Amino acid sequence: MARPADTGTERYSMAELMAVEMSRNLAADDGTLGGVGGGATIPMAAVRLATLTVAPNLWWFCGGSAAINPVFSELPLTAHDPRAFVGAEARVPMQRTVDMGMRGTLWGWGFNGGMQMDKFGNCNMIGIGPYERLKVRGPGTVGTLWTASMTKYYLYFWHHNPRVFVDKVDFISSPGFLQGGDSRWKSCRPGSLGPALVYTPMCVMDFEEGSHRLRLRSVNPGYDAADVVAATGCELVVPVQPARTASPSEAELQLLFTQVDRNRVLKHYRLTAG
Amino acid sequence: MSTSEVSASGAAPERARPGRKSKEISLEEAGRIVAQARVIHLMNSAMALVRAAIRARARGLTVIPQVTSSLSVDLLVAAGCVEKLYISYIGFESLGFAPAFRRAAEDKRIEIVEADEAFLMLGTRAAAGGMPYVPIRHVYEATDLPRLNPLLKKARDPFSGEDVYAVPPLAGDVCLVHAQECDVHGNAQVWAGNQQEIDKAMASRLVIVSAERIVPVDRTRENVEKVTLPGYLVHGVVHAPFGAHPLVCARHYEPDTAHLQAYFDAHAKGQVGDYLERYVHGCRDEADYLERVGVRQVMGLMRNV
Repeated sequence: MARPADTGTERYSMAELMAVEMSRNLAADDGTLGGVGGGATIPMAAVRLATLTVAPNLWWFCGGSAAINPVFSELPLTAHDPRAFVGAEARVPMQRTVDMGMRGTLWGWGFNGGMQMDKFGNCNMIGIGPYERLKVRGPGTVGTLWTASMTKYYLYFWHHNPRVFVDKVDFISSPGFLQGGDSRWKSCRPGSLGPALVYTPMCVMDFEEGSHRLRLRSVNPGYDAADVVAATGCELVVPVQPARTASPSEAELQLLFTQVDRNRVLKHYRLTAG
Repeated sequence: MSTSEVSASGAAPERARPGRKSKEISLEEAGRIVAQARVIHLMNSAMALVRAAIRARARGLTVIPQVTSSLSVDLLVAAGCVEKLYISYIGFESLGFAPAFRRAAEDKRIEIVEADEAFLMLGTRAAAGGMPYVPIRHVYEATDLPRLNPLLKKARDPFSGEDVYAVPPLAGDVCLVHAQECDVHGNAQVWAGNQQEIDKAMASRLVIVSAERIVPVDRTRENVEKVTLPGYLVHGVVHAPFGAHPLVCARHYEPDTAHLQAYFDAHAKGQVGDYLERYVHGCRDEADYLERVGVRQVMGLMRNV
C-alpha cells in the first residue's frame, strides 16, 4: 500500500527536501531559459529557490500563468493560480510558448512527469491499459511532448511504486531515451539531450552513460537502496555505494520558508513511497 | 475646464455615435446559441456560459478546450452535453483527476481526440489564419500520438523533402470566453492567462464574451493596451459577475476550493446529478446560483487577488 513519504525528521518534509535538491541541480542551468508546467508545485518552489541561491540568472516560465520570472513568496497551487504571476517581468502568450517548443533550442531545461515511467525515461500521461479499454484514463499529454525537442529536462514524481516505475509504459507521450542507447536521436530533435535527472519521494535517479538505463544516483533520507529497488517495477542500475541525497541547509530552509513558500504548502504536500 | 471632459489619453471622449448597436445579450440567450452549435471553442473560465449551455440542454457538442482545462469541460461532460472532446489536458493538477471526464472516457461515452498543446494551438492557429494545415517536426515521431490520433497525418515537406506531421484546422461554431471587462461592443479585456482566446475567437464563427464588468467604451479607450479581444470578433456580450466561479478570475477572486471539493465529493458519492440539479438546472439564473453558493462564500474569495 502507498505510504506517505517520510524524511524521518521534523525539520523538513519530503516535498521540501525534493525542492531543495532540485534547486541545487539548477546551478548548471544558470543563465538559460527553462520552465515548469501544470501540477508543478514542487518544481516551482525549486526554481524560485534556485534564483535566490545558486542560479540568480535563470530565466523561467511559470506554466499556464504565462509569467516570466515571478517572485511569489506564497507558493502557487496550480499553474493558473494568480500567485504564479506575482512580480513577473513578462508574459508570454501560449502561441509563443508553442513556437519555442517547436524549435526546442530556446528551452534550456524543463520539468516533466507522467503517470508511468520506464527504465529509459519514457513517460505516459495517456492512460493505463489498452487504448480501447483503458483501466485508468489519464489527463492527457499537455506539453510533455516537448521533451522530444527541448534541450534537456528533469522528471519528477509524486509517488514511487512499481505501478509508476514500470518495465514498459502503456503509451509514450513523453519520449525519453526510447529503447536506450542512441535510439532517441532517430526521431527526436538532434541536440535535445533527453531526461537528465529523475526526482521521486524516495531518491534521485539519472541515466547511465551510453546505455541510458535508469540508475540510482542518491537515496533520500528515511530510505535505503533496497527500499528503492523494492518500490521500482523496472530495472534500475544500483551503484555499489549509493550516495545519500544531501539534507537541506538551514539557510536553504530559511529561504524556502520565508521567501518561497510562506504558507508551507510543501510541508503538507502529499507524496507516497512504496 | 472640467477634467471630466478629457479622457486619460488626452482626447475628448466621443459623445455618442448615432445608431451604434450594443451586442449585449442575456445569459439565457447565450445558452440557446451554444445549444444550437455543434463545435465549441471553450475558454476554461467561461463557467457561467457553460452553466447556461447546460440549462439550455446543449447536446452532442464537440468541445475544443484550452490546452489545460478543468471544470468547464468536466461539468459539460457530467451534464451529458459532450459527444466528442479534443484533449490536451483535462484535470485539476494537484487536486486530482477530472472525475466526469475520466469516467466518461473509460466508459467510452465520449469520443476522444488524443491531442496535445501543439495540436490544439496550431490547429486553432490554422483555422484562425485560414491555413489548410500546419506541419510539425520532431515532436510526434517518437510518441504514440500518431497511432492514437488519426487526424495527425504524415506529409512531405516540399522544401526539405522530409516527413512531417500535418495538423488540421480546428474551426468552431461558437467560442466562449470569460473576461474581466468588456464594453457592449465586444472589446474585451482578459487579464492574466496566456491569451488563448484570440486564436480561438478567430477560429470560430460566433464569439460570446461574458464579463465581470460591462464598462463604457470610453473606459476601453483609456485601457486600450489591455484589450485582448477586439470587438469586431465578438457577437454577444453577457454581463456575468462571478462568471468564472468556482474557478479563479485574476484580480477579482480566488478559486473556490471548498466548492470544487463539494463537486469532487458529489462524484465520489455518485451524486453528481444532485450537484447539477442544485447548482445548474435548479437555478433560475446566475444570481440564483450565487445565492445557493452563498454570499459569505463568494465574498471570502475576494482576497489576495
